[in-house]
Amino acid sequence: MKVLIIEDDRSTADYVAGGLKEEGHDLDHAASGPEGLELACTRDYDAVVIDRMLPGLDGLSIVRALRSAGRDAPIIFLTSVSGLDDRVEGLEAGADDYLAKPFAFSELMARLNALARRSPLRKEDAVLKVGDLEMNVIARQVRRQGQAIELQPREFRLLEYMMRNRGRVLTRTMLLERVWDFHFDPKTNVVETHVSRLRSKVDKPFETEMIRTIRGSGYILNVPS
Amino acid sequence: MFLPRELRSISFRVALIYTVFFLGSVLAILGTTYLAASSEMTGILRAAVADDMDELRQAFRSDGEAGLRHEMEELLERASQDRFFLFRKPDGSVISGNLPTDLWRDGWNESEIPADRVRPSADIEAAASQAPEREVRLISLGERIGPFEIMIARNLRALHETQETILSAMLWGGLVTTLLALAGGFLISVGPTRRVDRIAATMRRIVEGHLDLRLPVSGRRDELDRLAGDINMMLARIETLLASLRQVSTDIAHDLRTPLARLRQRLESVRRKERSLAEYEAAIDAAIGESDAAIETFNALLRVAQIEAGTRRSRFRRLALGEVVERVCDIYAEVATDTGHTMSWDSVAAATVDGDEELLTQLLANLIENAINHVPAPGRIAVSLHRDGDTAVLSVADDGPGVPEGEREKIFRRLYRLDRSRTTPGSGLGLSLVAAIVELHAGKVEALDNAPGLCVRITLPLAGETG
Repeated sequence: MKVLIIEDDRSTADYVAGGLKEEGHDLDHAASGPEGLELACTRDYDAVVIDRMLPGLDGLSIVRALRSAGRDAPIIFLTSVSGLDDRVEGLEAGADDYLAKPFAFSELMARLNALARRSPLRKEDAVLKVGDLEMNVIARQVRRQGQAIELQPREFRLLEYMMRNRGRVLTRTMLLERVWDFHFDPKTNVVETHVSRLRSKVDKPFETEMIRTIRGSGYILNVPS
Repeated sequence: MFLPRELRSISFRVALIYTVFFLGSVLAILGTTYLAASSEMTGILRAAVADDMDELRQAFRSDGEAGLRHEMEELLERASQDRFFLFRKPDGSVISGNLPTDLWRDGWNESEIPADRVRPSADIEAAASQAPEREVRLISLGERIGPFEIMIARNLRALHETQETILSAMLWGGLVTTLLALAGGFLISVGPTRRVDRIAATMRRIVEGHLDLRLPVSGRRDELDRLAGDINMMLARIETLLASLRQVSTDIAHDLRTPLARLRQRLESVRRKERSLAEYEAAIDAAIGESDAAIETFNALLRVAQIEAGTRRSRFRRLALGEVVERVCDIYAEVATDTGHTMSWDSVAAATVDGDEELLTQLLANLIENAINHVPAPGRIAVSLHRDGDTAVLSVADDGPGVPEGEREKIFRRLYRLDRSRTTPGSGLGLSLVAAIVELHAGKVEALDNAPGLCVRITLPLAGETG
């Protein structure tokens, strides 16, 4: 994966660059707004990470400029933690995802993976299949090994999100935002509770486990190996 | 300008303006008197001159030249330093009289005889000696009767004396009025100026840091008292805010120093000697956990501050509060079950409010989590939403240990934690976030006794029919 990070804070940029290189990805770094915009316009990237506050040209303007120039590389927008409104503005400007600083590298990586490997064809498939697990989104039915599984609406949403992102690590925060629309950090085990309920229905009655916990990162749904 | 404070005061200025008007009216009255007296006295003199002339004319008409001469003799006997006559031939030769011949003027005239010409007559000399500039002012009527030219004149001294009396009355009256007004204005402003001085002195001391001082109130309930009262209220509010700010800074410093110190201790102890890889990993994980907790506290503080700033209000939209309640309760029901609690949400009424759905979701989530974390299992948590007049009332009640009466209001303060809660998870910011969100929505939050347990009741205004 080839990633561009536009970030003027040296330590944040180094932190991201170090992590991406360890994971075997290519990285370009721009320390100012104009420099970043030029790189993003002239080279192809699998994902672009843009900070909100930049010298020369702010992050929002870069996002808008890229989108109006027809560049469709996935964009992750970095906001300050108190910037509740920045997030909405960033998404409205055309960013695909946002992340509040300070963030954990695993969180950024999970989001980059979720965005970069998104296949443009697989937009709203009505039938999702992962191994022997099958979901009909329209009829709202789930089967595994041909056996029907009864799910609550919120369990269905959780499973649908995991199946659409099969093979990718989904962090706790990603699940909270996408499945429950919670934009804060709960002080109880909301995610753990719901994932374990889903597991008891999708995995427990069967031989193999599809939903796995990645310690310190999140969850992943995959074809059992 | 270096004027004493009293002379620059408002009351002094008012007194001065009043003086100008008062002085104006005094001068107007005296001026009118002056003009009226002048014209009245001139009239009297003119009538007297005209009467004398009439008598002469009468005598000439009835007895001819002899009668006129006789009458003239009689008049001349009454000649004095106030009353003058000139009886001459048209060629200028004087027949009789107490005026020099070259003063002859035809008709009505007012004239002055300069000092160097007062010699010709003893009467004029006598008149001149009484006038300050040694000149004589006359009002005269000159007429031709038969073959003679006759001029009768009166001394204008009396008129001028009266005029001067009135003028000096005006001058002295104006002077005294002005002085009295200045003195009065000064005296009037001494009192208020002293009070303002005392207020200013107190304010300077407050600026120096004596925030507990209050402005003096005289008890007269006048405008200065009202002003001082309002300023005192403001000072009390500022003092409370500053105290809570100071408390919050201290609490923040304390709350963040603790995890940082623990983090340092862990790192130091693992560094002291060589350890296994597993031990290193455990230490690093623990360190990450500690720093995450500190970051989380910062995040929550910033979030509370941002909500309190009120900028989110621009994102308000109309929403069904009942749906938020259903959704959040549905999510937490299983969490509560896992922790051994029973959660119920009934009597959820339809209520539309103008608000921020994301924040209202967090508000309810915080209240439910607060109950889950502080009520020992098996506790009951009941959420309800009903309408009361033009408000929506959302309450989260539990049957846990509750909060002692005196501390119930304090639980909405930043970083405030009951002593027994020090060991349970949480930053002590959940409820202050709730309070900030309620405040943003122009609502009210109360902590009530659920006997047993705690009931947090939130009242939000329902959305209006229009707008």
